[in-house]
Amino acid sequence: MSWLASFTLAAFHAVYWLVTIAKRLLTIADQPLPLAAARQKLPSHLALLLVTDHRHNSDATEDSMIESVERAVTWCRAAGIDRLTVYDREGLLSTLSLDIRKRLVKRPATPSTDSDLETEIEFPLTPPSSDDSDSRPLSPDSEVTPCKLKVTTVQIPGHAEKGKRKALGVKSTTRRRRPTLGEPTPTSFTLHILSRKSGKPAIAEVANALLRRRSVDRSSSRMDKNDRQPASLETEVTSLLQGDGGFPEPDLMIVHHMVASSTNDLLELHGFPPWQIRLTEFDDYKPMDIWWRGWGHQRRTAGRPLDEIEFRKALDTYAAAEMRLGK
Amino acid sequence: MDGNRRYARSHQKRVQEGHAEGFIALRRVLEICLRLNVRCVSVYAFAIENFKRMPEEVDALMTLAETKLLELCQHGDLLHEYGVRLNVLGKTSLLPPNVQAAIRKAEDLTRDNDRAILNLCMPYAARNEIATAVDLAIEDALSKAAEDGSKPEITEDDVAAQLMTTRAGSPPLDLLVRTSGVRRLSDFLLWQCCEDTQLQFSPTYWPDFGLWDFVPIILDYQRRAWAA
Repeated sequence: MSWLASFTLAAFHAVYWLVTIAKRLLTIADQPLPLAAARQKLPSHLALLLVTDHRHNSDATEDSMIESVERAVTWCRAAGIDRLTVYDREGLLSTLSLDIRKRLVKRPATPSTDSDLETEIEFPLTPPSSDDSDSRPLSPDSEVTPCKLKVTTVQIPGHAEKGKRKALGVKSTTRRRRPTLGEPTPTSFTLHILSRKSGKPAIAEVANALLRRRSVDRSSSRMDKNDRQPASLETEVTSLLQGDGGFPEPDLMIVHHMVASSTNDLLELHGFPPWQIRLTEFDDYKPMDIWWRGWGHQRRTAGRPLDEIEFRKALDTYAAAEMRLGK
Repeated sequence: MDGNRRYARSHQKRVQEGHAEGFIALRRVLEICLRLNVRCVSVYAFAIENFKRMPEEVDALMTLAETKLLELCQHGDLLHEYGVRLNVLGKTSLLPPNVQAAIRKAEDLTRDNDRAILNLCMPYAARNEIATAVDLAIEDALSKAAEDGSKPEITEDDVAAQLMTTRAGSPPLDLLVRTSGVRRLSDFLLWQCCEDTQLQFSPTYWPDFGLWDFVPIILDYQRRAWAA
């Protein structure tokens, strides 16, 4: 490329950089709504995608990641969200699932005098993916054998359920110290821990399960060769990927970079399972600190955990989004 | 290519005019891409879910598709000028017969072009594409096993090879842009974009989208390429 072309391109980039910084500085004073504020819409299932730099992972990064998950669970419960999916490409979180479980189930959801919490701990329904065991079997009348979907699910119990679900939009009661009569109590919380293996490889596993069934059906001539319909296949794949042993579609996704770099504002999905993100809303957080942290030797930081502003801004983005669903 | 109807409403025009302006935007942006030497462009023209819309709108879109497809592929027009091969991807059996005929004719006219590819996704849904690919992969594995007696096994690469975009010869997806401010994928190219594709959400309605909106996206893409 000639020096003039290079110079022009560099000039374009410099102008763009200045304009972007100016825009972000102008919005720096915009505070998002508080966690428990009544929003027009609230996601019932949130996904948190943690981006790590695999060249610089350390124990400190792992601690930051567990810290991020813990914070996300706390804030979800405060906001009224009862399902969270956390993802990292390499599967670090899956290997740390026991630590995560310990930290989450130990902490009571609310500061309360209820001493029964310890005795109500449920043991996880699915073993960690590092055991390489099958996930829970599907419904009894299904003809498809269970597939390894590599999804770890942790159920975190609420207090003794009084049969009342927390209504969306109602102010959170988790900050009050004494549960009073008739008040909604924190419900149980579901956490899914995923890695890249829960995505495309899991779809391949589903394909193999359907292959085995079709092979059996053909050999026992139970099924006509032309009897397959992609539409019903789609329904089957959905029920296998999103049922027991899998995880359902997230409504909103927050992408958080553990390590600061100058391209943290650019959105990529790092291998997140493709089937479930059909209608997922993506957050729009543009951190200010990437502009100076990224340059030079700042990359070896321990990694910064998820912060509350990021979380609340994502909820605001979701509340403002319109859904037309094709119509 | 989202935002045709909101664009029309904001200009007090009929929805069909919004779609017609959308086609003009497609030509404009396609030409920019081709001049920038982009090898493959895939556009979401019609979702399988869009059949749920009012019949008048669906009919108008089908008519637009039929006329504009052939216009685009004529000798001397854009696709011919840049050597672009047209592929229509999706569950085309759902389209009316006249549109299907226009598609066959348009694809024939550009079949020998080899400098670039235009994937016109209509009527398309990513889950339908993945399910169809799974189905084809299963049949493929079964027939291979029948031939050589081996145990059939499907990998993610086997599924990827059966996707409509792969079968049309498309390279991996580098950049995905959605217009009109919506920050969702809405069942578009889910498998193809979930790895290292850069996702960009532009607030501009599609009929208004032009070079001015595209430049920041390209600069961001370059930034990312240099940082890697």
